[in-house]
Amino acid sequence: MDLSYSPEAEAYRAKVRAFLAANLPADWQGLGALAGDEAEEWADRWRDVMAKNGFLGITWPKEYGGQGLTKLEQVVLGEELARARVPQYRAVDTTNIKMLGNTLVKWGTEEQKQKYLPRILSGEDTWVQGYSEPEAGSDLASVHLKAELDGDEWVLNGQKIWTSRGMEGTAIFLLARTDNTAAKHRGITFMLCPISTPGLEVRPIRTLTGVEEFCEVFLTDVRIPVANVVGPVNEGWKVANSLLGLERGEEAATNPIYFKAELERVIQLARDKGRINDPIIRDRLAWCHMKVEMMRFLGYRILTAVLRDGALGPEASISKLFWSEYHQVLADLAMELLGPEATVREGRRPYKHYRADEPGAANSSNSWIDVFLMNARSGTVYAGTSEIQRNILAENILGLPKEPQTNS
Amino acid sequence: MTALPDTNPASQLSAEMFESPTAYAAALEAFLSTDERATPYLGYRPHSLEDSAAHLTGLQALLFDSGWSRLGWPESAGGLGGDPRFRAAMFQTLWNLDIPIPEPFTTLEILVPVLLVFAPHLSDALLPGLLRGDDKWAQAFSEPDAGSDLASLRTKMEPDGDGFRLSGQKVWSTFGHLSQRSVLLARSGGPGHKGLTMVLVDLDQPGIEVRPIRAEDGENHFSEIFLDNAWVPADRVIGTLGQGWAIAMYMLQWERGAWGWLQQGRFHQRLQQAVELGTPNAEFAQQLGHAYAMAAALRLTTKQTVERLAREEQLGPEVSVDKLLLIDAELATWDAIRAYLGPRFEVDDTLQWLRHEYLFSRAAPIYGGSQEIQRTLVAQRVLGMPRD
Amino acid sequence: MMDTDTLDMLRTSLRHVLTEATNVPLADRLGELGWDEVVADDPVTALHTLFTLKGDTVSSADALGPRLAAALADALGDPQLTTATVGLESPFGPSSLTDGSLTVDAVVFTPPSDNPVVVRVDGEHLAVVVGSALTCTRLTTTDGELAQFRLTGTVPAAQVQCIEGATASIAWNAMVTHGRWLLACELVGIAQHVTASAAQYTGERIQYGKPIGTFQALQHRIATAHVLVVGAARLAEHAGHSGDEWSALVAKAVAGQAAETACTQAQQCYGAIGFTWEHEFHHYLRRTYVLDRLLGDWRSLEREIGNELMNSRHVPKIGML
Repeated sequence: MDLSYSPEAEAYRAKVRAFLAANLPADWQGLGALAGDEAEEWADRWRDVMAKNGFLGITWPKEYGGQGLTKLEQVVLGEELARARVPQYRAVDTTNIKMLGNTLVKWGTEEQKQKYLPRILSGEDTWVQGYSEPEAGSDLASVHLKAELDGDEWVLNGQKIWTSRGMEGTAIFLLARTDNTAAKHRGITFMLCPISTPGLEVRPIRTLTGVEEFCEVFLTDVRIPVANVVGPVNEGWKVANSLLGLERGEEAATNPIYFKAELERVIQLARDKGRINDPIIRDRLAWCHMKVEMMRFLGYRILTAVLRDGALGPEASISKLFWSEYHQVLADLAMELLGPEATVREGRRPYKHYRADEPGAANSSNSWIDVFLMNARSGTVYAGTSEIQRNILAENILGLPKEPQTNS
Repeated sequence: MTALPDTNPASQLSAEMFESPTAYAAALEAFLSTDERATPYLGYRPHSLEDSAAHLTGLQALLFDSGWSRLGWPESAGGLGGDPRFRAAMFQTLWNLDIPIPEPFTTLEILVPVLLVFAPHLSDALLPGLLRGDDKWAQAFSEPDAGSDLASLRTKMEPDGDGFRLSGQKVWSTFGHLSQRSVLLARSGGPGHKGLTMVLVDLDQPGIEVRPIRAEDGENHFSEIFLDNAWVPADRVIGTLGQGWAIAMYMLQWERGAWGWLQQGRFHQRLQQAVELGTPNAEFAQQLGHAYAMAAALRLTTKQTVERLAREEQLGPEVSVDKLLLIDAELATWDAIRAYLGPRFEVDDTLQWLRHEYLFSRAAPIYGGSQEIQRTLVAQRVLGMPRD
Repeated sequence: MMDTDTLDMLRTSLRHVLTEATNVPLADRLGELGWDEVVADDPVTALHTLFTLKGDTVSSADALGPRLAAALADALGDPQLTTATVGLESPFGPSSLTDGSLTVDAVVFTPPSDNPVVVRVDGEHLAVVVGSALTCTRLTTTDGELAQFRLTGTVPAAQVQCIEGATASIAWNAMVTHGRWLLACELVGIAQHVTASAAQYTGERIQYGKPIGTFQALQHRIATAHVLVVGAARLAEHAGHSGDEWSALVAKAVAGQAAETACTQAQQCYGAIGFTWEHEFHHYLRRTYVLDRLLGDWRSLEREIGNELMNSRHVPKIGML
């Protein structure tokens, strides 16, 4: 484990801090202090400020609008923004910049990079994700969206689901089945498709907290040019999975900061509710504190491996299980501290529907009810369920024999 | 009203006790708390498992000779009639008075109902001795390579004259080294369930060696049994050849149901001990409350099971729920007791017996069909989840 | 006692009443069934059946409010209070009687209009006041369908009937005991439904070429929930027959935990669909959280049990052979 950053990275950190000092209001509390629409608007504006100052897509080459910096600077940027209690971008930019943008940098053709990357940074295009299908959840490789070649166009028929913030998208990146005869991971192709393409229909899904966070996408004879394929045909599985390293590295650095801020909110809640001297509450808060600290050190290890080897070490597979299961315990504790208030909705609702509510959020019942029902509980389901994570851990890291049932 | 057999010398048993387990329990409680012959057993704390076995044999004899332990068993087998609720009531009464249940009683609860159905000639002849404590039995099912996967057991059973010869190895036989006989499952035919037969074998014979295994708490709870051409006469076969698996499955409803009732009495009693010993402290309120709630859930669930057994209903895979509740209650009870009593629990010499029970409680998710096996049974056979 | 056929018929009718789309209050619709006679004949079976089915069908009708009033009226020997509305603890603060006036802050399930309202004041006495003297506002809760209202207002003492001392405490505890039993039944109904539905879903949902219910990880999740649900069901049945305070306390503690466990385990089996309004599950999840917190959530009830055991130094046994 190497906890020191390079002089270049530290210089970049200083630059980020100067930018934040110049651009954030003096009394900035965090995005959590703003309610609903106000937070959405602020995040939109902030994204533009970030874009204009060159803080979006910083690892992308300069010719496509990036800064040509390394992953280490990306991590430093993430850390500093988290500390300053500001988001990196809008919620939808997770799929837009982080997922599609980085995928194009790695796999896109020259033409694709020139065409799409600047438009992603400027906000002209907003990309949403089309991976899951009704029958392809944990078993993501079983995608059925059918793509047939007709001249120089692919004709798509099928359905996607769980497209985050699908209603905000101008375009969708898809995994489609281009070879039915190949093994299931091999016949998949990564494709790009504007939402406005005829035959494509988006329908919102209401989550259990009543918010339209996801969409279903229906495709009927949707035609897209062959130029819209990213990476080789039938290699889409590899393309889609290549992002993991970068994502986990950044997450490892920023998760502990967000979860630490969230824990501080809960400690304040215990104070507000007069429970701070209750020995059991203190035990449980201390337990949470240890988990967040463990998360931090685990993060350093993950980061060190990614930066040193360019690949994830074994500890990365613990990370998702660790924070998602911790977060449910924390949310339970917050609900218990709220007491009778825990069922009566009051105050502002969270801006995003995964992980911690934004720093600066008041200890309102609405914040915690949503975090408890949605953000925390869904953590063990999305991005690989806990069951899948444990299988990976047991089989790939600990070398236990494969469960016969999962080998199809 | 059941007439008392002439052989019964117990004047304490009156006809009305045969009418209700509650009346019986009240009378038994009065007897045990006043009769001086019962005094050595009240609040008895064993020094070792062997001491305890020897000492509690006296209690078995007292309960049998005065008639109390004969209720709930059929007259044909030396009992006084009445349904299994009377046995359950006796266990509860013993726990109420902080009298340890002699281990042979727990074995009886599991083995004798099987004999009554599948080998009445054996129960008729042998139950009185077993009930009185003159004779002690073990069970020998598991093998080194047949734990959760019991049907893969390999101990060989081959015909020889008017009986059979047994060769192989058994393990985890509770109290094996203190027993004269053992119910044993062996392979008399081909592979799988259908090749298994259950027998009652004498352990004190040249072809058998019994070696105790020291458990976590330092006591010899279990034994290994080595069989080298051991002899079992044909009339010691329980049921018929090849019926062993079916009988083992029948046995489970008793093992999981009646056993659970017996154990909930112990958990309530031990929680009682803990609240008498401990100093109230809100920090442990929820842990104790949770343990109690689990013990109460176990009590009512196994109460229903005992009542169903008393009505001679055939129980199905749903009794696995009783066993799973038992596991939850046992672990919760001992975790709570240990937490509540704090450092004293770890170092007080007078609490050695409690520590032993704590250590043994860690085996709850393993013995009698592991927690994993039980959960799979509940999922597939009670809730109808798909099998692979 | 009801025989099996009668009970089956009752279940069918109640299921219909609980699931029909109508604005007619539940009490009126039950009245058409001859409900009062059914209750008079075998109250334990009747109420157990109604509340378990109410959980099973996740019905939002107010069945609890009238029962709380009936229990309180019965304990106080005042039949007039049968039409009262019982105000439960408000998350915003207590009700109190000081300086010649009553300040009310309480939660109810149906607006009281001009019926009497009974609230507990200063943690000991009971105050009866006419509902029209109070302001009634609908609360936005985790479960938007189960209506809850906040009653507030200050009323001159002259308009308040006060019930004091042991009479008040005994009656209030009787009401709480009755309510805890009924809520335990409802939570058990939810838990049974959720467990059975999730078990069925895992048989239908195919991943990796087979039903996900074949995976041991999911089988064990649902089995774990089922075990607790069975224990909770036995305790709820017993609490009905015994009617005692301790049994109801334990029953509600285990029922709340069982329902929460069932929802947690089921939700993981449902995966993403369990986080949406596309599937019925979310109704059960949200109802569980609201019901668990009425008359004491399962964690505080467990603490209450533990404190009682430690302080009395006595471990009671529930249910005799």
